[in-house]
Amino acid sequence: MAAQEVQPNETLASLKTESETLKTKLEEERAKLHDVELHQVAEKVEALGQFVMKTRRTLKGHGNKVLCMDWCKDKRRIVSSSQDGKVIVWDAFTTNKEHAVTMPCTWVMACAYAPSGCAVACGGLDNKCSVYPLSLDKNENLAAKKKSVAMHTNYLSACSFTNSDMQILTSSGDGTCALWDVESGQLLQSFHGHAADVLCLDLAPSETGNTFVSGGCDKKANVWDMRSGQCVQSFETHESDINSVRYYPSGDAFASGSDDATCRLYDLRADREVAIYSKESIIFGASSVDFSLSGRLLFGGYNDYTINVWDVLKGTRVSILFGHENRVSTLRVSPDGTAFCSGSWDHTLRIWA
Amino acid sequence: MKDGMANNSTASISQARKAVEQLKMEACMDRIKVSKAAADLMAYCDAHIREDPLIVPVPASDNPFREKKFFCTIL
Repeated sequence: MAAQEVQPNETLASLKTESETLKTKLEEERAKLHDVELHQVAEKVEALGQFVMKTRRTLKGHGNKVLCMDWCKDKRRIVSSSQDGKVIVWDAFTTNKEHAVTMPCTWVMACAYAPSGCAVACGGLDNKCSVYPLSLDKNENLAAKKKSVAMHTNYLSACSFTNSDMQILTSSGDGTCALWDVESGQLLQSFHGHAADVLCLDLAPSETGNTFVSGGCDKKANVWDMRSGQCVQSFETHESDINSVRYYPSGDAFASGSDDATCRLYDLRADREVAIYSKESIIFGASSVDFSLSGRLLFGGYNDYTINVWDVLKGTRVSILFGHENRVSTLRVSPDGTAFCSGSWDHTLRIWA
Repeated sequence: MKDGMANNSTASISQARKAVEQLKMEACMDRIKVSKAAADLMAYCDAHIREDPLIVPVPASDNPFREKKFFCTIL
């Protein structure tokens, strides 16, 4: 009978003790380098002026909660997905709908635009990620060309193309992330380490190499090496589910939004949390976060229907945006930073600038 | 029944072993001081803030979302 050899001194209890000891040591090492707070260093930075950000466009057409959206690289098209199973491609300048697909499932929780602008990926309760090539012929039935790429054993929570149309990264309620080849549907790499549903992911800016960050219901944010499948760094300071993660534009840090009503900034080279964006008056979870082009502003969409705008360096809130009539579920800044789009359970998307 | 129990504890031990290996690997990382990390984050902001259209607005005519007129394409 081939049972794995258990070393005499290696019981479950001893391994757990070793684990705790290593965790304590890790915290000590991190603490040694904690010589100052970011907001202290940022005291000398010029304060930001007054903000005039308003809703410039409202995209109406979804029949139920908007769950996810993504910008096309052309800075004007947007794909959005909804609880009613619809995936819509919009021209954000004119608010016209260019394409619409009805998925065979409800709760399409994830959608993404391909870098070429020629396809979109989406998925949700069907546990899959499917790719739809976008036809120039508006009358063509998009659903006919659908390609199933990813298969998870629970819901698809997020998806993103890597820097080409050829590979997709997914995260799932099954606790894993995975990298897939679009053409063959083959699993290229899987990422195990979260102890519960993975809710979000973001790819590092291409200059910084092959890593991505994921956040989950285990309150952890993990940074992964895409080639080896290894978790290279892990951060556990949130007090509840992490709904959204987004890299700082330089790639040296990332922000997270959580059900604990805070957003946080983690620096990858210091290997620790360096800022918390919170207020006593904010008691509802943050569902989605994104940075402005320079990284100075962090936009957070919250379950209390608002969008809070944070000064990333000083840690203060610079603006609060009202407009949505239900939870903000998704938020992305446009590729050239001229605007950002928010999607909400109120069935609409808003473009702010 | 004893085999079943052995399998459960084998799986837990294997998981605990992986956790220990993961922590040992994370411990080896070269970290920098927060003061240096903060300085770099600030330097990046400073270098790019002038090109950030949501902070330093571009003229309305250059931002298609702020333009008052409706965007038209010439067919």
